[in-house]
Amino acid sequence: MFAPRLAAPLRTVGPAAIAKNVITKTRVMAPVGTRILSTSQSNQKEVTVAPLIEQRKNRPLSPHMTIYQPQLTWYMSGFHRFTGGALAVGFYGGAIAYAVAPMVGLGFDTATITSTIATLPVAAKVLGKLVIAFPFTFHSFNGMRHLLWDTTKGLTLKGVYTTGYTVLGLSTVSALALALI
Amino acid sequence: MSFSIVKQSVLGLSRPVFKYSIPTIPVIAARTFATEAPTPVKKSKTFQIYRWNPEQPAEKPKLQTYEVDMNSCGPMVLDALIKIKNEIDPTLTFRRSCREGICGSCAMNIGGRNTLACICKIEVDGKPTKIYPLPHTYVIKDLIPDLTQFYAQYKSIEPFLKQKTPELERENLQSIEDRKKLDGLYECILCACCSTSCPSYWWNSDQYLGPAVLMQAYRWMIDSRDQFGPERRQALQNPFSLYRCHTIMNCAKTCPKGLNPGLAIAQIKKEMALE
Repeated sequence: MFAPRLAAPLRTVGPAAIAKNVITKTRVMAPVGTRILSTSQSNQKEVTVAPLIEQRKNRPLSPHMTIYQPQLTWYMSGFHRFTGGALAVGFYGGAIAYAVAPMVGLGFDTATITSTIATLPVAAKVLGKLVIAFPFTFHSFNGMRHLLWDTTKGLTLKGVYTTGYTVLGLSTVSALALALI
Repeated sequence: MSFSIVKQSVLGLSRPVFKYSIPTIPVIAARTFATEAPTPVKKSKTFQIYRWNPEQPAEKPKLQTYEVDMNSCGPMVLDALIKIKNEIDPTLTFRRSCREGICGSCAMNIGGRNTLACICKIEVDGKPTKIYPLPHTYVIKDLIPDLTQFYAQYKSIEPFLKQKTPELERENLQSIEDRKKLDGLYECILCACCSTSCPSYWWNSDQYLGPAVLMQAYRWMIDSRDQFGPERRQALQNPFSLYRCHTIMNCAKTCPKGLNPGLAIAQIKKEMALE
């Protein structure tokens, strides 16, 4: 692969070759004062990732999630995703269970659920409602934060933190309010 | 020794003249008795540094502890690293060049966040400081990550001026307002701190371009002299290149140059949505 390139300079040694080179160079030389605009064509091969993938097998992956500093930015983002997933599972799971229950005799119907919950102590009821309400309020308010960001507003570091703490405050207060209904 | 400034008139102009008297010998003699410098209070700092040697690939990466005497060490983490390499362990390997935050070579994870070792002050508070290579990168050795993929991605956005009109005979002029649009974008030194702080980039670095590269893509889209904005945006029109950004904003939080790649990406998304 390198052979022709190595051979090329060897062939052009000797006074004749040098003289020829000089002539060629003089001929193509640009007039004085003209800016040479041509960009040199790179001889380098395109950076291919094939050898890279080969090397990766021998290289360790540096630690990431476990060592990265806890920051409001990625913690809230992670929690947004988690609450989104949990709410979806709860909503679809609940709805499907509700629809399927009478057919398979699960005992998952309004009457059973209300009577079961009625037997629980007040503290358990409030706590249970809070556990459901907080992911809901957080995901809703943080969703609005993301919609605001989509308009490119509030996307400074200061904006991210102000809106972040606002979302946390609003979702806590509203979740408590919902839990106490 | 005594000094005084008196006004002296020379050629009708008044000017201040500095007058002094040579001190007498006894005073000089008295000054030669040097007061003994107070013995500095022993200050040492513990660093725990990620080590991995490619010549012993079977050995797992580990954290190695170094004690650095802070009385004879510069203020920045890079000073401590160089001191460790010079005086304690010459096998410690890391990249560094400019030592003033402009080359981006010494980007690493210090105390849990990505920054440049040369502009990161050592926190002298008794707690050990942990130093890792940039997160979720393939390690070449110790603190040196393989950034080939990062550079290949940068190349893929064609980070240069592209025009459809014939080449101008003279310079490409730009208004002051148009030039101002590049502020906050062109200062990027491609240290990869932001990209490797991004959880999205951790999971999708094979296809997602990451904050640093996308900010440079935007830098060329917004340039009034570039005529390939729509094509540049079209190239990002797929689920991965751009849209893996979920506005996590670790990028802006960690950027050692105080730039905001997250905002640049949001602006690309907005332009693409309105196009």
